[in-house]
Amino acid sequence: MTFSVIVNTVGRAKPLRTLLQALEHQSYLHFEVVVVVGPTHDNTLDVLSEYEGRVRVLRCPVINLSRSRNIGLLAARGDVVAFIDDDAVPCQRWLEQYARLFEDPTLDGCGGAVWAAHPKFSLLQFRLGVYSSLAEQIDVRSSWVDNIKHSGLGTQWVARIPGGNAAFRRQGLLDVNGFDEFYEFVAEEADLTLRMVNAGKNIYPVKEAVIYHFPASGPNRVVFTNKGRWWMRSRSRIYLAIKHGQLVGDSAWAITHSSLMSLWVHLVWYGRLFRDREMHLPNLLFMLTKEMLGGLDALIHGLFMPCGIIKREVAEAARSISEPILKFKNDKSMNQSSVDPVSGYIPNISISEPSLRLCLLSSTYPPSQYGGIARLTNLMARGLFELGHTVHVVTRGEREEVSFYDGAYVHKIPNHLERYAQYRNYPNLFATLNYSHNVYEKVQRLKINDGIQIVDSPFWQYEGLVTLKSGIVPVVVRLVTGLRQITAIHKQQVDEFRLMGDLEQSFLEQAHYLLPNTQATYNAMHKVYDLSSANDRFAVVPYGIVSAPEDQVRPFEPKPGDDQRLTVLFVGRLEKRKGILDLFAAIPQVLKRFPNIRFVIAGGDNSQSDGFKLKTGMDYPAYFASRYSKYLPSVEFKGMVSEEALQLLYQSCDLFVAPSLYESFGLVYLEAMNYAKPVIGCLAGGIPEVVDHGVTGTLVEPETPKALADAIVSFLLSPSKMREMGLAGRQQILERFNYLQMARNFERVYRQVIHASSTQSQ
Amino acid sequence: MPRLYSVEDILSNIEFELAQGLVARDELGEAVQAVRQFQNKTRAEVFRSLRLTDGHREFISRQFQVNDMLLNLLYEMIRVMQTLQLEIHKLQQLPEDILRPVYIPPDETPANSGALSGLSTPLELSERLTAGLEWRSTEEIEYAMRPEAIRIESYTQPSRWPVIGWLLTKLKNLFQRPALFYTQLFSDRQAAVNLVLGDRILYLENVVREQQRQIRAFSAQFESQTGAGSENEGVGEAS
Repeated sequence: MTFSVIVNTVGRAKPLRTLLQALEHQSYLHFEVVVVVGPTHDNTLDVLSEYEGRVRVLRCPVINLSRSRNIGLLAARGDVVAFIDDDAVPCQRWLEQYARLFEDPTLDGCGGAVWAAHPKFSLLQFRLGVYSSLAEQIDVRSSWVDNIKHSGLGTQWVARIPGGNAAFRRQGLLDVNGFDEFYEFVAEEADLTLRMVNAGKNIYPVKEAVIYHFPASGPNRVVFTNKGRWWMRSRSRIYLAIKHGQLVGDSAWAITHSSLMSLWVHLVWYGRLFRDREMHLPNLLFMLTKEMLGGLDALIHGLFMPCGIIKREVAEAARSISEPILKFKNDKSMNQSSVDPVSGYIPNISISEPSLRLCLLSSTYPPSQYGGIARLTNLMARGLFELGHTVHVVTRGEREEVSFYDGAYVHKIPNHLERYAQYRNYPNLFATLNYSHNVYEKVQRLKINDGIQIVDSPFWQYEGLVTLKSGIVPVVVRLVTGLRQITAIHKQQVDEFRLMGDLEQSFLEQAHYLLPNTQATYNAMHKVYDLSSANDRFAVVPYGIVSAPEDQVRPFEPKPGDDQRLTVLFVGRLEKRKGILDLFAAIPQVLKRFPNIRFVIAGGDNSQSDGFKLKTGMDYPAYFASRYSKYLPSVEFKGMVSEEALQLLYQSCDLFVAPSLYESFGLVYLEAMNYAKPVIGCLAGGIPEVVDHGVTGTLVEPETPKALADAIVSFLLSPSKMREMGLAGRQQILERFNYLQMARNFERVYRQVIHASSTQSQ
Repeated sequence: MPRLYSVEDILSNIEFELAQGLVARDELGEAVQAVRQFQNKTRAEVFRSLRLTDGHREFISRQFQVNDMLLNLLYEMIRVMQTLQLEIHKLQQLPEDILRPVYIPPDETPANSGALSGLSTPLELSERLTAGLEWRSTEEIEYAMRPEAIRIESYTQPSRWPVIGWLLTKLKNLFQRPALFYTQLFSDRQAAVNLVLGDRILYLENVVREQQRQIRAFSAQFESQTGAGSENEGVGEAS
């Protein structure tokens, strides 16, 4: 089966380039691309010249979507013609899904789901829907029959197919003589569907064959504004209601009512815009005139001159075309880089192996949340995108949506608590199991549509557990601190946590590969979990960050005299594990020697969760205020701070301290080193693998406030040491702890696991 | 004392939920409930607000009854379909050497369909599940889907009064017109409902038939494999 992908475009060179780049990644091979270019004044033709010999370019003399579609249809050579908007990106298996559907010989046309995935506009635009002979449109969310609840006037209702993501058997489309060219914009696909259904064709929409829509400005509208040729909508709808209403016997009253409503809705909207001063009087008058003229035009054509379709003899001639398609894909297609569909940015990298399609899990994710796992996953996504791969991130959200952010398609899913009801009494277990299942369902969709090859899950809360159990795709696990480790530290013996710890163990045993960030992480986990079966399936991948621009890097500059007020920064949750009590105990000792020093403590209070408040009746800042009240003026508690504020704190401090009792890695040290700040940490967990003792900072034994105070004092006494170690830290960021280097390490493992899984399944 | 769960319990629950997921999500079931609600609401509205003649009232009640029956049938078919899908999934979990592809022509029941001791075969199960469902000819459903199947015409018994009889008949006709209008409106809507219901039923019928065919194929394989195995054992003992 061959496809002709028809793209109709006017003045949208940038999104067109993105679309063509995305089509390189289609899993289906046998298709041609026909681009019909309207009267354009931008560099559309230059973009297309880059694809000379691979794309067939046709011209449409007017801005008329239906005519443009007909021109593409008449030139198409594929068995099936697939229409896609020029400001959309198809999922990787878009045509493959259509090919599967069109194996059914009775199917004449279908349309897939459309997700608006622009960061400013992200929602499910279309999944299923119906359209009436009176231009009434209803979207269906769950199933066909739930639509019956709606009462419409139209006699005939047909399945709605989105014009921007539709495929038709070419012969079937020619049988009804293509699109009606009265519709310059909007409703042309609805008219076609009604005519095809009336001609006995079988048409239905499907939930798969997804496209991601990134609305772009064009001659018909300016995106994210109120500007557009909106009268085209009412003109098209009135024409459709008159034409089809008459045909199927809708009453004259119903047709008139529907037509007037189409106009009225627009008039009310303009009135509101005018009232809110979003539309000026001349513009209002212009729009009103256009609406009236458009309505009149529709009335005349609807009553007396309907059907501006392709002439029968032309359609007959097109039917006999039997030339082979001009294949779009070539040998280089597989090695093409992924593209940022919002900005049009394509990483400038040469890829020797086919790029990958990856799925990263992280229940929290920027820009709404910047936790440790969220930040790391975001960096991985950015790095992997820069290496040319297509990255999907599955995270938690209030409703199901997708948007492209920072190199990845971020899919938000709500946590429906529909399953595992027997564990309701264990709220954490209940919530995590359900979330893991919801993740699995999303992963399933992503596999069907986007062809993801591997899932990377954080260990925390075993998000990928159900996916792993399902076996639909290999799952690798990023090892971070586990619940069993934390319960051991806090000495919590609760049945729920025991079960969750056992689930963690099962997750580790079955994962295809384990990715600790340090050897220490692996060793520490080995003490709590049985990793004896994992000896040959783990690799240490140190984390990396994006290096700060040179002009923001502030190495320590000693100033003459003793009056320099230095700042010591702590970043982390205020809890025992982060060593906050040790820092509290060290502060008086430091201030006794250097009363001018200022301590800044940034991070949310966690005294409730770690049991400190229960024990003392106070949170951490209150505890410091009561215990060390004399030193309170030199200490500033910032609480939770925004990402921007945090970067400014790193930038402006002189010394960074985080005396954690345990860290699997310690991203905070890297973030301080990024701005050439010397750091102080503990000889615990993975910290020694991040902080080079004596080179980039100083490490002390955990829970030793005296040693901590001495280390701070030692730095304050030696400004040159502060500068040298700060610069050494910065160098480490550039060479070793870079997010691109991290992404390369992950990529290596992914390829290995994908290869092993495919070999195994063969 | 509450029961203590083990990790094995949870893992088997996950497997169960995964198997459930292979059965189509119960959108159709939800949709049937939505139609039921719609129908009940409409029934209440129709009988409350319209001044219906006895004939129209009877017609509409019958139609509602038919709808109820169709909805029940639809619901049962969904249930059967889901159970069959689950059975197929379970069969797919059997070791591969037991299930090798064997061609069974459509609608052909294997000759040897005897159950193994202590194990009901999927074929038996599917037959048990569908026992209450008579397979009706599709023409019947297709006819019910047509709008004209429920369209009614005005009928007035001619008056036998001399001279003014024609006038009375005409007045009777005129009196019936508003009720007829609403009844027609209702029957138009009803036709849309019937169309959807009928369409779904035909679809489900095809699905169930196909599933039964698949199960027969699997059963035949299963039985031929296990049957062959026991025969061999028997030979071994004899020798």
